[in-house]
Amino acid sequence: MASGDIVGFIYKESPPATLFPQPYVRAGGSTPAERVPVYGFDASTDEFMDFYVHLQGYDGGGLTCTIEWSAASATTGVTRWGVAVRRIQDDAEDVDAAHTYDYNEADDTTASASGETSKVDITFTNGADMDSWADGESAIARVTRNADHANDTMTGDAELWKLIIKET
Amino acid sequence: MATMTSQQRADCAAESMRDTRWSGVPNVLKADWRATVDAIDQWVSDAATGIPATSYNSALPVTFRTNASAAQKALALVFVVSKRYLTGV
Repeated sequence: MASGDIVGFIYKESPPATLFPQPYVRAGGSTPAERVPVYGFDASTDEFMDFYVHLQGYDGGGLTCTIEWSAASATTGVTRWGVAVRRIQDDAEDVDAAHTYDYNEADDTTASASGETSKVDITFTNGADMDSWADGESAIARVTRNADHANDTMTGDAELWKLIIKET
Repeated sequence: MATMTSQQRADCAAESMRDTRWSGVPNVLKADWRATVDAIDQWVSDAATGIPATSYNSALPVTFRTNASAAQKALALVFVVSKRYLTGV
């Protein structure tokens, strides 16, 4: 795969047992109204959402995770997003055991209207930074909002629309 | 009347942002909202020992005034203010 190509194929998404964002639909303005499915990440408590991903066509150039999101109500302020990888290595990674998720994070300013989306990139270098996730393997990509970080200033929920995983 | 503790104020700021009636305020960030909660709490504390509280209590019908606790009187005020301002009376 070339740089910029999608190499992470999301086959499931599932919230963790606790501290998960509220799934809801955001009503659009058309007639009939759209029902945009989003995950609302709290403004005060760190919450997490898991994406189950298969890596295919990865050439070792590192990953760029793009998060597309909107503000539930705010039109100013910054949200701090994070992504971490738990590699599911064949006959090696025991999902019954605990894993320490190591987040790469990035700040993003909300769009000028709460119904508009903004995109932020979070990058990973090849190797340990992405838990040594290799081509052909599955992984859990955990997305978080670091709501209690000093840089996270936006009031109200941050709504996750989608996660895209590309070769850097 | 004492103000809320810092943790109570933080909880108030966080819980309010989770309320579906929260619509956000332009240019107001989390720190600004927390400062607003602090200021309102201070005002309520001051009002409880001053003229506004006396005036409010006197305005209540005697049956409610003599039977309701301070918390119930406060809740009654919340109901009325919410109805007035959130429905645009």
